[in-house]
Amino acid sequence: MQTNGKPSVKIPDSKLAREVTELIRDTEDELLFMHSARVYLWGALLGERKGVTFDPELLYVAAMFHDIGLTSIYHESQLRFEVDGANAARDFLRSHRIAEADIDKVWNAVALHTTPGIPEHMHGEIALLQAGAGMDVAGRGFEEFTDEERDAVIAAYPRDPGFANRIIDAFYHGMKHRPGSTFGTFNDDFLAYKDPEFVRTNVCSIILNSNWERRTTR
Amino acid sequence: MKSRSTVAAICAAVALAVGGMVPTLDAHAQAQPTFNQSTANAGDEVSGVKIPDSKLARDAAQLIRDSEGDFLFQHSTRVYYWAALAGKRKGLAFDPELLYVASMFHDFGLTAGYGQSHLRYEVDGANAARDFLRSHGVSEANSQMVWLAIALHTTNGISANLFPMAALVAEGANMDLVGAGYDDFTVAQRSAVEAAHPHPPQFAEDFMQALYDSLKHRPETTQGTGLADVMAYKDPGFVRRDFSKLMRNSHWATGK
Repeated sequence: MQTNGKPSVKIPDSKLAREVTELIRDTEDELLFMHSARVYLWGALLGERKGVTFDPELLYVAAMFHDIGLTSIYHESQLRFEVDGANAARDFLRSHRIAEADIDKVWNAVALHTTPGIPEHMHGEIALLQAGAGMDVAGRGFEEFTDEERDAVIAAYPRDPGFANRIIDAFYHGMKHRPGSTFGTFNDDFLAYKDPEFVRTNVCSIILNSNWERRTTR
Repeated sequence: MKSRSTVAAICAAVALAVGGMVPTLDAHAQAQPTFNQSTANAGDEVSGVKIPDSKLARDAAQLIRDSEGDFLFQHSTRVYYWAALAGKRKGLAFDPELLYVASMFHDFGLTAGYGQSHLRYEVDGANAARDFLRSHGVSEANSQMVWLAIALHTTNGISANLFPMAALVAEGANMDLVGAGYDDFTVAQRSAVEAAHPHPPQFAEDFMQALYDSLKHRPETTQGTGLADVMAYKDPGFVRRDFSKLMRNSHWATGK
């Protein structure tokens, strides 16, 4: 990503990066592929600006895989979609003989990219993937980017005006068969938004109706 | 075994009470009869699982007992037992000492020392455990594992896919709080743990109160987690953030 100004990042140019690009482009639709590329660029731009230590290639692989769990490949999975993506990234990296310690970073980055308040205390790749995803889906940290940076990223990987609703659809289709996997996360908001019949499970009801409570009131 | 550990626990409770060291968290804990104020001591054994008998374990127990009060200390002790019992049942490889320290510290972020913190309480507990382990010369790799196990113990669906200790701390905490996996424990196991460290009456309400007391100054840290439900339960003015709405009304939508 070349901008005329200072902070400029580009997609890593290595065999590993080219292979992951190809794999994700062949597996995901354009919406998710472009989103994933932007997530990398937001994350890398932030990392560069803040002097975060990270390996661009690992961050790129993590960004590419971060939403693969939403694709139809996993339409029978009952795991969290984030874990499906983390496992897929791990398999890919192992087949490329990447060190286990690096694979763990990518696994955690993908698995935790929707978990609030934890990734920022972990390795750079983990923190930056979540920051990049938050910027792209919800504009979190929007002001931390210059107009020039935003324009350059969007020019290279367009984010159309209907993006929010389209990615909410993608979340819904990726998770409607596994509503239990959204319990205690914000992913249940997508199910509730798309499906008026969906009932959020409330943590307090679970706590108040546990075996322990039934036992003591018996 | 069960009766022996109960007796030992009662003796220990008496000794502590005499020494004036039984900490109290709230009025409810104070109101408990003496026999409920059992304490876990190094070497205690319940249902075939022992509290590790080492300086590290004893120091952790002491620190947690002194800072958390009886209610959370007993909860943390039960969490260790459930976690270790589940680990044995599943044949998982874990270090009992690290599992014990992780269990002891898993709710440390709820203590009054974090009244100004704006981190997630799980991260406060994870940081405290890591500091404690580092100061005891435990390796960085092991300290990091304990950190992650505590940080993620309320995050559903992730810990089970990490390493055994992380899976077990979350499992133990869920068993103790909501009875998750209740039927995977034998009646004998449940009775033994409960005899030594009983769930007090009103456990659920008191636990949610403890969560709320510690989180009400940092409600933003609960958004997008299960704890937002606890905030909404205790505070009618609390508004759960709806992520769909957030996305549809973001800077991207408004262009600013």
